Amino acid sequence: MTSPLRAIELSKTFPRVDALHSLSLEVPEGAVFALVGPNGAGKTTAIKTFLNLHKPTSGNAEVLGVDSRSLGATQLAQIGYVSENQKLPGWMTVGDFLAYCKEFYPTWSADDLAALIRLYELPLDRKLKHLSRGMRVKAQLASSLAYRPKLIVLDEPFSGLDVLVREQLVESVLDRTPEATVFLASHDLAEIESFASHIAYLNEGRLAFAEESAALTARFREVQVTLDSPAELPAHLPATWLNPEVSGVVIGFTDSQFGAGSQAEIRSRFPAAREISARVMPLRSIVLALEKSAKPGKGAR
Amino acid sequence: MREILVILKKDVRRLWWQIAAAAAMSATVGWMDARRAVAQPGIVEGLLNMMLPLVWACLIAQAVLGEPLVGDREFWMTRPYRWPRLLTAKVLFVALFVHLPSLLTDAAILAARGYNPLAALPQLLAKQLLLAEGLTLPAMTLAALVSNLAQFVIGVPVLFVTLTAALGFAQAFPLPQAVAHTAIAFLAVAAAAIALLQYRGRRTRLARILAASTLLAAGLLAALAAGQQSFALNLAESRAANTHATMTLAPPDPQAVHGPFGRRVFTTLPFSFSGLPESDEAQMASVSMDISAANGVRYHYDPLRTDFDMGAGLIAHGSTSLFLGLAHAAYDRIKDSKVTISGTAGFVVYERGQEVRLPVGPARDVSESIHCSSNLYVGPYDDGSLDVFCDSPSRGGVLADIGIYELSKGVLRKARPAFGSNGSPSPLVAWLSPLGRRQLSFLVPSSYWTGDELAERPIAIVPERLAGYSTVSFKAPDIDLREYSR
Repeated sequence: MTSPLRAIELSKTFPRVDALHSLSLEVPEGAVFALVGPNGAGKTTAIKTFLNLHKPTSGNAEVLGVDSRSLGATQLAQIGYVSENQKLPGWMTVGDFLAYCKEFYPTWSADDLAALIRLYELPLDRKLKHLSRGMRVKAQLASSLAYRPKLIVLDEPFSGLDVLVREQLVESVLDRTPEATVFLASHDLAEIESFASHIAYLNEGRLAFAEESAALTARFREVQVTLDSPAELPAHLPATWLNPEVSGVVIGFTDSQFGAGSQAEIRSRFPAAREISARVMPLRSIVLALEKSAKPGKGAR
Repeated sequence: MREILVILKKDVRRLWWQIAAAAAMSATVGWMDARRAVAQPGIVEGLLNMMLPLVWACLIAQAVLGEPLVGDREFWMTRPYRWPRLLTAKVLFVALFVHLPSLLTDAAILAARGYNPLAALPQLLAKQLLLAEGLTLPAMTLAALVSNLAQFVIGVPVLFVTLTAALGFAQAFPLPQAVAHTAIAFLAVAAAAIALLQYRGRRTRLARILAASTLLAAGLLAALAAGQQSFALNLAESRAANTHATMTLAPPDPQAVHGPFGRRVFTTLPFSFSGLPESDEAQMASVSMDISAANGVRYHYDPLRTDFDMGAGLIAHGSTSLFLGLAHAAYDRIKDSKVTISGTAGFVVYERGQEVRLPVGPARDVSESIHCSSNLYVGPYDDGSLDVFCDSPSRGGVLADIGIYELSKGVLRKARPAFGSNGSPSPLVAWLSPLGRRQLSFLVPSSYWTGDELAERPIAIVPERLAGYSTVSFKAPDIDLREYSR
């Protein structure tokens, strides 16, 4: 299986800003790959570098088997890109815009477009500049899905949209998989948790992890150890135990490598434990734990 | 091709009213130009001549900025545009909505003024080339280097300079300004290369650096051109005149105006000029000169380094004069020494054609490329003037010697022109006109002009042809400068 999108030691430096630092990742074909991270983490820079809107400072990015620097019309005809801050020709009506885009794509499907127009209830005679944010994203998405792209790249597409619109848009994007691969950047974890098959976490231009969502949620646990009497945190806890804290008789931490031997490991560290619980964590909690552990003075001991 | 047309159609839909406004302005300028039988345009026509290129520049900018090349948020950048097709669409837009209206307007003006536009096609196309060099190419390139119209407008003064240089070059007196033309052509080629670079790979920073360097280089070339000091380049570009001229310093002319005046001491150096065929006429175009005194003091003049002021007179009847103005202190340092005056003069040679005599009245053909008309104004006190107006679609304007004969005195001699105009590059000159115009007003007593004499064809026009450019060196040793300055 080939990867429609791959980064190898990809770095991008702007004057005074190290936006991407040796990013290496591989997006499997047919995946819904979410690149998450806080604002300013480098997600948009990564996407713009993939799409040749920025030239990499070092390293390489490959999109549909082609170096991003050589990305041309042939590849762009197979990529659907929607970004929250993309500048559209506001003077055009929605209908004109879609008709104009159609001319550039040999695989454009009038039936698909008609279905998308119906689904999104697009007002064809309204100018793009007069549309609400949600409608504008819908118009963009319609113009990017009607030619059945092999790769759909979405940069914060759903932020600020109401739940119903978001669900509608997510549905229409997911309808394209697994024929299409979806790569989306978001800082809203709740938004992507339900449908992302793969998750990568980017912070300050560095990749913290990139793996399948199922594997990620399987290896993270929020652990609570209840003791008989108040105690201090033991020294030299495993590095994979993040953000250990004591509150009275309860010691809590996030186990980032929870597995078959984890229970035994915890019990060996806390022989006086009255109760040990290990709860599955939502993505949001996993990321919060990671962010917290990355801050100086916190994290694993 | 389909993609090109799709982009072009989109731009036309977006900019239709700007296109219509520019076309209307162009038609108005053409209408006013076609009706004008004086050299200088009126204020409205002059302003329209200045405004129309700016309107065209903004139209070009808006077309290019339909798909801005600067930035990373433009929707088209992630769509499968092919850059050669995008660039072709923009070039086609400029050709259709700037050059074509301009060409059609010019042709209409020529037809209205009685010329055959097809016969003048080479001149009309040459003018379009200048328009491309001076306006459309620089405007396209500038627009390719900015992200919006506001940024483009900031760069408009640069366009104004290139346009003035290009169209001024076309309309200036027909000196072979090879350096000026080289500067403009260099700018145009560089602009095209920078635009290509931007369209091909959006290398904005590199393109901006190249553009700034190009402007600097073109400015330096233009500075050289301003003085037309490069004899070699002028000779290289223009046809060499078939002449072996000599220039020899003549004895002082007692009638000449010279001596101390204000901060300068003025010196008139009369030269006898020989070697031109009888049928030819010449005009000094550029001079460099050295004055070396026996006491070791040396002064130099060329357009880039001037130790003194200098002006050149017409070459007429085998003689010409150079007028020097030296500061008192500079003059005092050499006045008591013998000096050697040496230098090189570049001059333009015109071949004179057959004289054509015209009566006073409406436009007549002098030649295929020159039409002239005249008007007699009779004053109440035996005064009056005869205005002679000529136009021509030739490059360089009206090349003709214009005079009138005083028939009532029984002699044929040229009367003194009161003033003349051949046009010069300035905002109030019709620099977009395809016609060169020349107007001379001759002061004449009203009594000269009886009905019979008006019919006697008193206006004499000698069409001329630019024969070429040549240079002549001169050297006059052991000169007592005081003899030429008293």
